Amino acid sequence: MDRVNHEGMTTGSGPIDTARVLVLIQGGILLTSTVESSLASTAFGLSPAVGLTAVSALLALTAAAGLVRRARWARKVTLFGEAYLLVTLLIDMAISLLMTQTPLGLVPLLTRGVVPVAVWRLLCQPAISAEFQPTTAPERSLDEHPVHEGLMP
Amino acid sequence: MISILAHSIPDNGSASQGSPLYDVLPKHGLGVLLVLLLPMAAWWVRRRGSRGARWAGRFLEQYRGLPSTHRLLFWLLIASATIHLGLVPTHDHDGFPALYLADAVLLGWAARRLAGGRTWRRLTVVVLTVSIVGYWISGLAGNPPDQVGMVTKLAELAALGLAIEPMRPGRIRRLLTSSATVSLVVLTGLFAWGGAFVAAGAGDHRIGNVPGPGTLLPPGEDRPPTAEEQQAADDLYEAVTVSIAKYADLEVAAINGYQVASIVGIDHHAGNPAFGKDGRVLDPVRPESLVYAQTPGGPVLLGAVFEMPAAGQPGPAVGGPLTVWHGHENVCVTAAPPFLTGLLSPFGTCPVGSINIPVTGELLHVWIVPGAPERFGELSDEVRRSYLAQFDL
Repeated sequence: MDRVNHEGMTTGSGPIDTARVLVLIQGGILLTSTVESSLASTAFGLSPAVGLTAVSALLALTAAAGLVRRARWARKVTLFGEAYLLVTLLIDMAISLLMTQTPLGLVPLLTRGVVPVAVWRLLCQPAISAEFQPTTAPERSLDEHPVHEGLMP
Repeated sequence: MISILAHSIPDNGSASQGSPLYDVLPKHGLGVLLVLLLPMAAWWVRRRGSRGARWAGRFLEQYRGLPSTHRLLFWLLIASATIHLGLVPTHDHDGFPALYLADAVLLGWAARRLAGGRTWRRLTVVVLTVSIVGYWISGLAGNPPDQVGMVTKLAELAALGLAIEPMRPGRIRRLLTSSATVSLVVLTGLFAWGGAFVAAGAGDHRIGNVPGPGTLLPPGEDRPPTAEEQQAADDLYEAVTVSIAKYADLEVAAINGYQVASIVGIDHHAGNPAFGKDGRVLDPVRPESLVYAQTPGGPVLLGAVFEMPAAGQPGPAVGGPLTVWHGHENVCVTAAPPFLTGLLSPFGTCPVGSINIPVTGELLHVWIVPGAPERFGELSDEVRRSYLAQFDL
């Protein structure tokens, strides 16, 4: 199934790798948010949100690494994070519609709507879920996994 | 259509002009429109292929042979190319059309090579990196980031992340490419903040100014005050200065209902719930909040804040352009306990545990700091720290 003719993409061209890149971007966004909230805390005072955001950033980046090793905890942490993003998007959307009668902007819809749904869909396909099931052998490396094609439109 | 997509505050004559960071600039509307037409273009190619057009059939065969990750990468490149193409006719005044056109052509070319099974990686990585770094520079040069720009950069960051996936397995390679992706995301976010603040300039609360992120100002043009407005502003300032002087003593402030139990930072707003609900507007002896700064020598009173009872109600600008009311947008707060944690980031997120308040009621600051550049507007951190230095801050 590998498509070596596509410029050496001999590994990592499946849904898990796509999800991993998206989670890395989410981790970067959380790191940025940690910097922003740290700066804001110098004016408004230190809030627990700074620590929570920093921990979430580390969790996201660790989970991205765990996805490569097909670690079950990484999948669970990732799915929990995506669910959190979707819930806060719905709350913020409701507040925005109530207060300003306008929806949220394009960027929040993308980062907290489209991307979490995409990651959720990538990691919840039966074939992908099966890769995270426990095996009797030690955790398998990426190279041992087949490339999943045709699972995305 | 753009107004539906964009988060904007209705123009009701009050403080309604926000930072472009949270909006869609009109000159970027065509790019959004073209991207929305992409599914139709894909449908048309597919239809042509099914009707026997050789070029369409060949393209579809190549596309269907791509791994799933490459299909996503293809669409991210095409989306970015399309948006850049839509910027060409609307940026004829700032010298960028040629750059946008070149970017669009190169991104499209990279996508074509990817679909065609030819070497594409180096071209793709170079074009995407230049496009992302160019956006950083453009922001610092005074072109404020907006929602379309950030969505485009997010698409390019995802495309770059996919394009630099290691060709061969290896922990070090994967660590390097992951670090590069995360670093580019962080830098893009920080440069977007920088661009938004550069576009806002000094951040003065003057009519028609480009506001900084999180601030709403009235649209229009600044003008000199009339003699009556100058007098009204002087009278208001005098009355407020005299009335709040006693609140330098925290015990007096607490007895009068201000929440001064824990002062933190140099911009602590101590609200007075009773005054906030009394229905009085701009009463000099009953400001809705007081502003303190915490110093090693104890809390220092900096000024007062008057607040309109509800969002969307314009404040009475008794001093005309001297007393410009402002609002706030996209403020992040924690629900329990209520705590200001910052502003909605360029990536559309609040710190974890916070929710986004899209708009607040209008406010008018009155600063009692000697030498404040604006008595009723913004008080910069530099001026605050300079004043607070005498209190060992």
